[in-house]
Amino acid sequence: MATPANKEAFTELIAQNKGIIYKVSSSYCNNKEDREDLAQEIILNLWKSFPRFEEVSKFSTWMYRIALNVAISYYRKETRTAIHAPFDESLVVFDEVNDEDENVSLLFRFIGELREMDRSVILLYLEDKGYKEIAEITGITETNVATKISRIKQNLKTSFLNNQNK
Amino acid sequence: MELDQLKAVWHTYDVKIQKALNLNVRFLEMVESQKVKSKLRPLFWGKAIETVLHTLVIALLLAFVLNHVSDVNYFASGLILLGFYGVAISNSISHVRIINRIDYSQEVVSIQKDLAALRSGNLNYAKMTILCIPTFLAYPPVISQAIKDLDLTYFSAFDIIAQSNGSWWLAQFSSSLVLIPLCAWMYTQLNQRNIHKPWVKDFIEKASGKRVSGALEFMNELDQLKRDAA
Repeated sequence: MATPANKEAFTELIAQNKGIIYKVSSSYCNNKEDREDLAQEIILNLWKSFPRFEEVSKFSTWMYRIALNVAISYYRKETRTAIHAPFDESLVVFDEVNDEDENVSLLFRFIGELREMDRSVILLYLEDKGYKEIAEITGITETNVATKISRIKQNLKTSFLNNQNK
Repeated sequence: MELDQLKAVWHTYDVKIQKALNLNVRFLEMVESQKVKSKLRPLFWGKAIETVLHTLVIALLLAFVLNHVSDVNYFASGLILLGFYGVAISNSISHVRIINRIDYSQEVVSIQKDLAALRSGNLNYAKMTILCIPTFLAYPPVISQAIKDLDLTYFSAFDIIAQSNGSWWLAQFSSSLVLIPLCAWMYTQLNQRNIHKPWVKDFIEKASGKRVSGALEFMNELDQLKRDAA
């Protein structure tokens, strides 16, 4: 149930972790409009699941699970159904972030070329999550996480090299 | 560029995001004040209604079968239809269960697998249609006998068995003999494990769309992850 206390707690936690929403949205959507729609869908699902959040797990772990699940589901839809109604304004103002660093833009581009589960794994790795936490969030084993990261590292390295040689 | 260097770039970027991103608190308050409805609710109700309708048909067929235990032709026809609706209801119930257990805060692999299973729902209908082909000939005798049993005088002239002079049973038996194993085999083949087979992929895409074959490929990828871990 949405009490003023948990509303306040939710707002505070979202404010502290807003970067997660932005980075997940940017990893799964190429254009601004889709990113904003996805960010809103993530927030709606976070709010819906918030009453069931148990503090035995870290808020960021819980948040990543929801954000990635929503992002992969969103990414896999053939047609986008924006969820604007009944809200008529954006949650996160994306214009404020300027991707002026070429390496960051390239990184997002190369992440965007990976398969959906690989995107989740590398995103969590870049966020400094340990293998154990990545395994907890994604549901794959630690050994599998290690194998995947090593493979993705190699792919990204090759992509950057190919880009430099162009 | 090495990944460790990328990590450094990523962290610099992270700091910039935290400073620059503006959270629209007014929007957040609006989200909080709304009762957020799950997008899966309409699907849940659709599947629930489907389950109720299948239960109703199964009850009627059970009554028919029990009423014709001594008449092997009608009994067998009723059983064929019962088998078909048995598979149909198990599909509907399994979808209702999947929808009920979906919780986005659970592990990504298990939730995505459940969602892919739901997304491939159209395939179940295509598969059911295939499975249902041998049962097509079982409908007329069952319906015509049920009309007689219920003493619906308005339809009393509708007696397909009498009109075919008994040859209906022979046609039904011989076509069932050929079609049941063939259709049952196709039913077992049309799944994500066989999506690599061109005819399976082609059939699925034509019968239920590319979205379904995409979902099945994703399920295959997730299964591969589980197998690698084992």
